[in-house]
Amino acid sequence: MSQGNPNKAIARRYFHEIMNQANKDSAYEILSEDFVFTLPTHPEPFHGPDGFLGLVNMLHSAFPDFYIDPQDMVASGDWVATRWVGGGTHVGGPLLTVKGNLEATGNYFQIDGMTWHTIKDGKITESIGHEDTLGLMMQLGVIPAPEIVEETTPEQNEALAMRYFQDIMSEGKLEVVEEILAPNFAFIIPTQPEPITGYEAFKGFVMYLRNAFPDIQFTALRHMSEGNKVASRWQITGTHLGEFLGAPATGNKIKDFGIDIFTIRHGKIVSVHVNENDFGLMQQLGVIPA
Amino acid sequence: MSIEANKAVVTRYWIDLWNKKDEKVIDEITHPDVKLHFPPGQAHQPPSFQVWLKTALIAFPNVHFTIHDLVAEGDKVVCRWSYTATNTGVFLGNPATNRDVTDQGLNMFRIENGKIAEMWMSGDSLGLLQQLGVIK
Repeated sequence: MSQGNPNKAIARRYFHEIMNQANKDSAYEILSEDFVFTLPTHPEPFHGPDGFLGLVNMLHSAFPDFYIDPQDMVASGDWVATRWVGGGTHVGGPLLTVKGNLEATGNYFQIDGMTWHTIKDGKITESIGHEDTLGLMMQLGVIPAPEIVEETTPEQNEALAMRYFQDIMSEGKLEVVEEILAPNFAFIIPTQPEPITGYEAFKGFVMYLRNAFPDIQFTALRHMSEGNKVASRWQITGTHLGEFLGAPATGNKIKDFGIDIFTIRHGKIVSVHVNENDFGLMQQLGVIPA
Repeated sequence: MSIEANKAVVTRYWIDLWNKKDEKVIDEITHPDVKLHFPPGQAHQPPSFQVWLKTALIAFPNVHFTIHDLVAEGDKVVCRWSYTATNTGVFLGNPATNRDVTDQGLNMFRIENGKIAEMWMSGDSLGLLQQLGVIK
Protein backbone atom coordinates (compact mmCIF):
# COMPACT_ATOMS: atom_id res chain seq x y z
CA MET A 1 0.00 0.00 0.00
CA SER A 2 2.54 2.55 1.10
CA GLN A 3 5.04 1.72 -1.63
CA GLY A 4 2.47 2.02 -4.37
CA ASN A 5 0.98 5.43 -3.61
CA PRO A 6 2.09 7.77 -6.44
CA ASN A 7 1.80 10.87 -4.26
CA LYS A 8 4.09 9.31 -1.64
CA ALA A 9 6.64 8.68 -4.39
CA ILE A 10 6.45 12.37 -5.29
CA ALA A 11 6.79 13.43 -1.64
CA ARG A 12 9.84 11.15 -1.33
CA ARG A 13 11.36 12.80 -4.41
CA TYR A 14 10.69 16.21 -2.79
CA PHE A 15 12.84 15.23 0.21
CA HIS A 16 15.55 13.25 -1.56
CA GLU A 17 15.97 15.12 -4.83
CA ILE A 18 14.99 18.69 -3.99
CA MET A 19 15.76 19.06 -0.27
CA ASN A 20 18.79 16.75 -0.10
CA GLN A 21 20.27 17.12 -3.58
CA ALA A 22 19.03 20.64 -4.51
CA ASN A 23 18.17 19.20 -7.93
CA LYS A 24 16.80 22.04 -10.06
CA ASP A 25 15.30 19.79 -12.75
CA SER A 26 13.37 17.82 -10.13
CA ALA A 27 12.06 21.06 -8.61
CA TYR A 28 10.74 22.20 -12.00
CA GLU A 29 9.28 18.75 -12.64
CA ILE A 30 7.38 18.10 -9.41
CA LEU A 31 6.59 21.57 -8.01
CA SER A 32 3.74 23.49 -9.64
CA GLU A 33 4.37 27.02 -10.91
CA ASP A 34 2.23 28.45 -8.12
CA PHE A 35 3.82 26.19 -5.46
CA VAL A 36 3.81 27.74 -1.96
CA PHE A 37 6.05 26.73 0.96
CA THR A 38 5.23 27.98 4.44
CA LEU A 39 6.95 27.49 7.77
CA PRO A 40 5.56 29.42 10.76
CA THR A 41 9.04 30.64 11.64
CA HIS A 42 9.59 32.25 8.23
CA PRO A 43 7.67 35.54 8.03
CA GLU A 44 7.03 35.22 4.27
CA PRO A 45 6.16 32.12 2.21
CA PHE A 46 8.43 30.92 -0.60
CA HIS A 47 6.76 30.84 -4.05
CA GLY A 48 7.33 28.68 -7.12
CA PRO A 49 10.19 26.26 -7.88
CA ASP A 50 12.72 29.12 -8.07
CA GLY A 51 11.68 30.66 -4.76
CA PHE A 52 11.92 27.27 -3.06
CA LEU A 53 15.28 26.44 -4.66
CA GLY A 54 16.52 29.73 -3.17
CA LEU A 55 15.66 28.44 0.30
CA VAL A 56 17.17 24.98 -0.35
CA ASN A 57 20.39 26.51 -1.69
CA MET A 58 20.61 28.77 1.37
CA LEU A 59 20.29 25.67 3.61
CA HIS A 60 23.00 23.81 1.67
CA SER A 61 25.26 26.85 1.77
CA ALA A 62 24.85 27.15 5.55
CA PHE A 63 25.00 23.38 6.20
CA PRO A 64 27.18 21.62 3.56
CA ASP A 65 26.16 18.26 5.09
CA PHE A 66 22.45 19.19 5.26
CA TYR A 67 20.10 16.20 5.26
CA ILE A 68 16.45 15.45 5.80
CA ASP A 69 15.25 11.86 6.23
CA PRO A 70 11.57 10.97 5.93
CA GLN A 71 10.60 8.61 8.79
CA ASP A 72 6.96 7.89 8.09
CA MET A 73 4.37 8.95 5.52
CA VAL A 74 0.58 9.02 5.69
CA ALA A 75 -1.27 9.62 2.42
CA SER A 76 -4.84 9.90 1.22
CA GLY A 77 -6.41 11.79 -1.69
CA ASP A 78 -4.35 14.86 -2.56
CA TRP A 79 -2.45 14.83 0.74
CA VAL A 80 0.78 13.33 2.03
CA ALA A 81 1.92 14.03 5.60
CA THR A 82 5.54 13.15 6.39
CA ARG A 83 7.36 12.96 9.68
CA TRP A 84 11.10 13.56 9.26
CA VAL A 85 14.43 14.12 10.95
CA GLY A 86 16.78 16.75 9.54
CA GLY A 87 20.14 18.17 10.46
CA GLY A 88 23.48 19.57 9.47
CA THR A 89 26.61 21.34 10.66
CA HIS A 90 26.71 25.13 10.45
CA VAL A 91 30.11 25.67 8.87
CA GLY A 92 29.09 27.51 5.68
CA GLY A 93 27.23 30.70 4.88
CA PRO A 94 24.79 32.60 7.08
CA LEU A 95 21.44 31.05 7.99
CA LEU A 96 18.34 33.17 7.48
CA THR A 97 16.27 32.96 10.69
CA VAL A 98 13.54 34.85 12.50
CA LYS A 99 16.37 36.23 14.62
CA GLY A 100 18.07 37.68 11.51
CA ASN A 101 21.04 36.29 9.59
CA LEU A 102 23.06 33.93 11.72
CA GLU A 103 26.76 33.52 10.93
CA ALA A 104 28.28 30.01 11.04
CA THR A 105 28.77 28.66 14.57
CA GLY A 106 30.35 25.31 13.66
CA ASN A 107 27.55 23.71 15.67
CA TYR A 108 25.68 20.59 14.61
CA PHE A 109 21.91 20.27 14.86
CA GLN A 110 19.34 17.55 14.38
CA ILE A 111 15.63 18.22 14.76
CA ASP A 112 12.24 16.61 14.16
CA GLY A 113 9.54 18.02 11.95
CA MET A 114 6.55 17.27 9.81
CA THR A 115 5.48 18.39 6.36
CA TRP A 116 1.99 18.44 4.86
CA HIS A 117 1.99 18.25 1.05
CA THR A 118 -0.92 18.91 -1.29
CA ILE A 119 -0.32 17.16 -4.62
CA LYS A 120 -2.50 17.69 -7.68
CA ASP A 121 -2.01 16.02 -11.08
CA GLY A 122 1.48 14.86 -10.15
CA LYS A 123 2.70 18.24 -8.90
CA ILE A 124 3.13 19.56 -5.39
CA THR A 125 1.08 22.76 -5.02
CA GLU A 126 1.64 23.39 -1.32
CA SER A 127 4.11 22.39 1.38
CA ILE A 128 3.30 23.31 4.98
CA GLY A 129 6.28 22.67 7.21
CA HIS A 130 6.46 22.47 10.99
CA GLU A 131 9.71 21.89 12.77
CA ASP A 132 11.42 22.19 16.11
CA THR A 133 12.82 25.68 15.44
CA LEU A 134 13.41 26.29 19.13
CA GLY A 135 15.51 23.13 19.27
CA LEU A 136 17.39 24.29 16.15
CA MET A 137 18.14 27.70 17.68
CA MET A 138 19.28 26.14 20.97
CA GLN A 139 21.54 23.62 19.23
CA LEU A 140 23.05 26.35 17.03
CA GLY A 141 23.67 28.41 20.15
CA VAL A 142 21.42 31.38 19.20
CA ILE A 143 19.12 30.82 22.14
CA PRO A 144 20.64 29.51 25.36
CA ALA A 145 19.60 25.92 26.06
CA PRO A 146 17.80 25.55 29.39
CA GLU A 147 20.42 23.10 30.60
CA ILE A 148 23.74 21.99 29.21
CA VAL A 149 23.64 18.35 28.21
CA GLU A 150 27.05 16.71 28.31
CA GLU A 151 28.10 15.42 24.90
CA THR A 152 30.38 12.43 24.52
CA THR A 153 33.97 12.63 23.30
CA PRO A 154 35.12 11.06 19.99
CA GLU A 155 36.71 8.22 22.01
CA GLN A 156 33.42 7.53 23.80
CA ASN A 157 31.63 7.69 20.45
CA GLU A 158 33.99 5.07 18.98
CA ALA A 159 33.33 2.86 21.99
CA LEU A 160 29.58 3.16 21.26
CA ALA A 161 30.19 2.14 17.62
CA MET A 162 32.24 -0.86 18.83
CA ARG A 163 29.44 -1.98 21.16
CA TYR A 164 26.97 -1.61 18.29
CA PHE A 165 29.01 -3.99 16.12
CA GLN A 166 29.96 -6.45 18.83
CA ASP A 167 27.03 -6.59 21.28
CA ILE A 168 24.09 -5.95 18.98
CA MET A 169 25.11 -7.12 15.51
CA SER A 170 27.58 -9.95 16.26
CA GLU A 171 26.13 -11.26 19.54
CA GLY A 172 22.46 -10.32 19.04
CA LYS A 173 22.07 -8.79 22.52
CA LEU A 174 18.82 -6.96 21.88
CA GLU A 175 18.75 -5.45 25.38
CA VAL A 176 21.74 -3.30 24.36
CA VAL A 177 19.61 -1.59 21.68
CA GLU A 178 17.80 0.61 24.20
CA GLU A 179 20.98 1.20 26.16
CA ILE A 180 23.08 2.71 23.36
CA LEU A 181 20.55 3.87 20.72
CA ALA A 182 18.23 6.89 20.97
CA PRO A 183 14.46 6.21 20.86
CA ASN A 184 14.17 7.91 17.44
CA PHE A 185 17.19 5.96 16.11
CA ALA A 186 17.25 5.65 12.30
CA PHE A 187 19.05 2.88 10.38
CA ILE A 188 19.46 4.08 6.80
CA ILE A 189 20.57 1.58 4.16
CA PRO A 190 20.08 1.68 0.38
CA THR A 191 18.54 -1.83 0.28
CA GLN A 192 15.58 -0.72 2.42
CA PRO A 193 13.09 1.70 0.83
CA GLU A 194 12.61 3.64 4.07
CA PRO A 195 14.85 4.14 7.08
CA ILE A 196 14.29 1.56 9.84
CA THR A 197 13.37 3.69 12.83
CA GLY A 198 12.77 3.11 16.51
CA TYR A 199 13.66 0.26 18.83
CA GLU A 200 11.10 -2.35 17.76
CA ALA A 201 11.70 -2.01 14.02
CA PHE A 202 15.47 -2.11 14.47
CA LYS A 203 15.35 -5.16 16.77
CA GLY A 204 13.23 -6.81 14.08
CA PHE A 205 15.93 -6.07 11.52
CA VAL A 206 18.70 -7.46 13.75
CA MET A 207 16.71 -10.67 14.30
CA TYR A 208 16.05 -10.92 10.56
CA LEU A 209 19.74 -10.52 9.76
CA ARG A 210 20.76 -13.03 12.42
CA ASN A 211 18.15 -15.51 11.23
CA ALA A 212 19.66 -15.29 7.74
CA PHE A 213 23.25 -15.53 9.05
CA PRO A 214 23.16 -17.05 12.59
CA ASP A 215 26.98 -17.00 12.93
CA ILE A 216 27.34 -13.45 11.57
CA GLN A 217 30.49 -11.76 12.78
CA PHE A 218 31.11 -8.04 12.39
CA THR A 219 34.71 -6.86 12.63
CA ALA A 220 35.37 -3.15 12.74
CA LEU A 221 38.54 -2.61 10.72
CA ARG A 222 39.06 1.04 11.57
CA HIS A 223 37.24 4.11 12.87
CA MET A 224 37.56 7.78 12.06
CA SER A 225 35.71 10.26 14.23
CA GLU A 226 35.09 13.95 14.20
CA GLY A 227 32.71 15.97 16.33
CA ASN A 228 29.66 13.82 16.99
CA LYS A 229 30.25 11.45 14.07
CA VAL A 230 32.11 8.16 13.72
CA ALA A 231 32.83 6.49 10.38
CA SER A 232 33.66 2.78 10.69
CA ARG A 233 34.87 0.46 7.97
CA TRP A 234 33.77 -3.08 8.73
CA GLN A 235 33.85 -6.62 7.48
CA ILE A 236 31.28 -9.34 7.98
CA THR A 237 31.51 -13.07 7.63
CA GLY A 238 28.69 -15.56 8.07
CA THR A 239 26.85 -18.60 6.76
CA HIS A 240 23.64 -18.12 4.81
CA LEU A 241 21.17 -20.39 6.65
CA GLY A 242 17.93 -18.35 6.32
CA GLU A 243 16.06 -16.19 3.82
CA PHE A 244 17.72 -12.84 3.09
CA LEU A 245 16.34 -10.11 0.80
CA GLY A 246 14.33 -12.74 -1.07
CA ALA A 247 17.22 -15.24 -1.38
CA PRO A 248 16.42 -18.62 0.28
CA ALA A 249 19.16 -20.25 2.41
CA THR A 250 22.10 -21.49 0.33
CA GLY A 251 24.51 -22.60 3.07
CA ASN A 252 27.09 -20.36 1.38
CA LYS A 253 29.84 -18.69 3.39
CA ILE A 254 29.69 -14.97 2.76
CA LYS A 255 32.06 -12.09 3.28
CA ASP A 256 31.18 -8.45 2.78
CA PHE A 257 32.66 -5.02 3.47
CA GLY A 258 30.98 -1.72 4.22
CA ILE A 259 31.14 1.63 5.90
CA ASP A 260 28.78 2.88 8.59
CA ILE A 261 28.56 6.53 9.61
CA PHE A 262 27.24 6.98 13.14
CA THR A 263 25.74 10.20 14.54
CA ILE A 264 25.74 10.49 18.33
CA ARG A 265 23.76 12.93 20.49
CA HIS A 266 23.49 13.07 24.25
CA GLY A 267 25.50 9.85 24.57
CA LYS A 268 23.31 7.74 22.29
CA ILE A 269 23.49 6.77 18.62
CA VAL A 270 20.73 8.64 16.75
CA SER A 271 21.44 7.36 13.26
CA VAL A 272 23.56 4.96 11.22
CA HIS A 273 24.04 5.53 7.51
CA VAL A 274 25.16 2.24 5.96
CA ASN A 275 26.84 1.54 2.66
CA GLU A 276 28.09 -1.90 1.73
CA ASN A 277 28.80 -4.08 -1.27
CA ASP A 278 25.31 -5.39 -1.85
CA PHE A 279 26.00 -6.44 -5.40
CA GLY A 280 28.86 -8.66 -4.22
CA LEU A 281 26.72 -10.07 -1.43
CA MET A 282 23.90 -10.93 -3.84
CA GLN A 283 26.45 -12.70 -6.07
CA GLN A 284 27.65 -14.72 -3.08
CA LEU A 285 24.02 -15.67 -2.36
CA GLY A 286 23.64 -16.81 -5.97
CA VAL A 287 20.93 -14.25 -6.73
CA ILE A 288 23.10 -12.47 -9.29
CA PRO A 289 25.48 -14.53 -11.47
CA ALA A 290 29.07 -14.08 -10.35
CA MET B 1 -10.61 -0.33 13.07
CA SER B 2 -11.55 1.59 9.95
CA ILE B 3 -9.79 4.74 8.86
CA GLU B 4 -12.94 6.73 9.60
CA ALA B 5 -13.08 5.29 13.13
CA ASN B 6 -9.44 6.25 13.65
CA LYS B 7 -10.19 9.79 12.47
CA ALA B 8 -13.11 9.91 14.94
CA VAL B 9 -10.73 9.04 17.81
CA VAL B 10 -8.41 11.88 16.80
CA THR B 11 -11.35 14.29 16.50
CA ARG B 12 -12.40 13.35 20.05
CA TYR B 13 -8.83 14.04 21.19
CA TRP B 14 -9.05 17.68 20.09
CA ILE B 15 -12.73 18.42 20.68
CA ASP B 16 -13.63 16.38 23.76
CA LEU B 17 -10.28 16.41 25.55
CA TRP B 18 -8.83 19.83 24.69
CA ASN B 19 -11.86 21.98 23.82
CA LYS B 20 -14.34 20.48 26.31
CA LYS B 21 -11.49 19.81 28.77
CA ASP B 22 -12.98 16.49 29.82
CA GLU B 23 -10.25 14.55 31.64
CA LYS B 24 -12.24 11.27 31.55
CA VAL B 25 -11.72 11.18 27.79
CA ILE B 26 -8.02 10.40 28.32
CA ASP B 27 -8.80 6.86 29.53
CA GLU B 28 -11.41 6.36 26.82
CA ILE B 29 -9.21 7.26 23.85
CA THR B 30 -5.60 6.66 24.91
CA HIS B 31 -3.64 3.53 25.87
CA PRO B 32 -2.34 3.53 29.46
CA ASP B 33 1.22 3.21 28.11
CA VAL B 34 0.78 5.70 25.25
CA LYS B 35 4.13 6.95 23.89
CA LEU B 36 4.41 10.73 23.51
CA HIS B 37 7.09 12.11 21.20
CA PHE B 38 7.84 15.79 21.69
CA PRO B 39 10.59 17.57 19.75
CA PRO B 40 13.60 17.96 22.09
CA GLY B 41 13.35 21.76 21.77
CA GLN B 42 9.71 21.90 22.80
CA ALA B 43 9.42 24.06 25.89
CA HIS B 44 6.84 21.89 27.63
CA GLN B 45 7.59 18.14 27.92
CA PRO B 46 4.75 16.67 30.00
CA PRO B 47 5.19 13.02 31.03
CA SER B 48 1.51 12.09 30.50
CA PHE B 49 -1.75 13.42 29.07
CA GLN B 50 -3.07 13.79 32.64
CA VAL B 51 -0.20 16.06 33.70
CA TRP B 52 -0.30 17.89 30.38
CA LEU B 53 -3.99 18.76 30.60
CA LYS B 54 -3.59 19.92 34.20
CA THR B 55 -0.59 22.21 33.59
CA ALA B 56 -2.00 23.52 30.31
CA LEU B 57 -5.28 24.46 31.98
CA ILE B 58 -3.42 26.39 34.70
CA ALA B 59 -1.54 28.45 32.10
CA PHE B 60 -4.15 28.60 29.31
CA PRO B 61 -7.60 27.72 30.73
CA ASN B 62 -9.47 28.94 27.62
CA VAL B 63 -7.32 27.10 25.05
CA HIS B 64 -9.36 26.29 21.95
CA PHE B 65 -8.22 24.13 19.06
CA THR B 66 -9.39 24.13 15.46
CA ILE B 67 -8.91 21.03 13.31
CA HIS B 68 -8.04 22.19 9.81
CA ASP B 69 -7.50 18.86 8.03
CA LEU B 70 -7.11 15.17 8.81
CA VAL B 71 -5.34 12.62 6.63
CA ALA B 72 -5.37 8.92 7.52
CA GLU B 73 -3.91 5.69 6.19
CA GLY B 74 -3.54 2.30 7.86
CA ASP B 75 -3.21 2.83 11.62
CA LYS B 76 -2.00 6.44 11.34
CA VAL B 77 -3.81 9.77 11.36
CA VAL B 78 -2.16 13.16 10.84
CA CYS B 79 -3.94 16.34 11.89
CA ARG B 80 -3.24 19.95 10.91
CA TRP B 81 -4.34 22.11 13.84
CA SER B 82 -4.18 25.57 15.35
CA TYR B 83 -5.17 27.01 18.73
CA THR B 84 -5.87 30.31 20.40
CA ALA B 85 -5.49 30.84 24.16
CA THR B 86 -4.95 33.49 26.83
CA ASN B 87 -2.09 33.06 29.28
CA THR B 88 -3.80 33.72 32.63
CA GLY B 89 -1.71 31.43 34.83
CA VAL B 90 1.84 30.29 35.51
CA PHE B 91 3.56 28.62 32.54
CA LEU B 92 7.01 27.02 32.80
CA GLY B 93 7.61 28.94 36.01
CA ASN B 94 6.78 32.31 34.42
CA PRO B 95 3.97 34.45 35.86
CA ALA B 96 0.78 35.04 33.82
CA THR B 97 1.14 37.63 31.06
CA ASN B 98 -2.57 37.90 30.15
CA ARG B 99 -1.44 37.83 26.53
CA ASP B 100 -3.43 36.20 23.74
CA VAL B 101 -1.37 33.57 21.95
CA THR B 102 -1.82 31.36 18.94
CA ASP B 103 0.04 28.40 17.49
CA GLN B 104 -0.33 25.89 14.68
CA GLY B 105 1.20 22.54 13.90
CA LEU B 106 0.94 18.93 12.82
CA ASN B 107 0.41 15.85 14.98
CA MET B 108 0.76 12.24 13.92
CA PHE B 109 -1.20 9.58 15.81
CA ARG B 110 -0.90 5.80 15.78
CA ILE B 111 -4.19 4.15 16.72
CA GLU B 112 -4.33 0.66 18.18
CA ASN B 113 -7.71 -0.97 18.88
CA GLY B 114 -9.52 2.36 18.86
CA LYS B 115 -7.10 4.10 21.23
CA ILE B 116 -4.14 6.43 20.72
CA ALA B 117 -0.99 4.33 21.26
CA GLU B 118 1.60 6.81 20.05
CA MET B 119 1.66 10.50 19.22
CA TRP B 120 4.24 12.76 17.57
CA MET B 121 3.83 16.50 17.87
CA SER B 122 5.27 19.37 15.86
CA GLY B 123 4.23 22.87 16.88
CA ASP B 124 6.00 26.22 17.07
CA SER B 125 7.36 26.40 20.60
CA LEU B 126 9.68 29.26 19.65
CA GLY B 127 6.76 31.34 18.37
CA LEU B 128 4.79 30.66 21.55
CA LEU B 129 7.66 31.72 23.83
CA GLN B 130 8.15 34.86 21.70
CA GLN B 131 4.47 35.73 21.98
CA LEU B 132 4.75 35.33 25.76
CA GLY B 133 7.88 37.50 25.83
CA VAL B 134 9.95 34.66 27.40
CA ILE B 135 12.27 34.84 24.35
CA LYS B 136 12.78 38.24 22.78
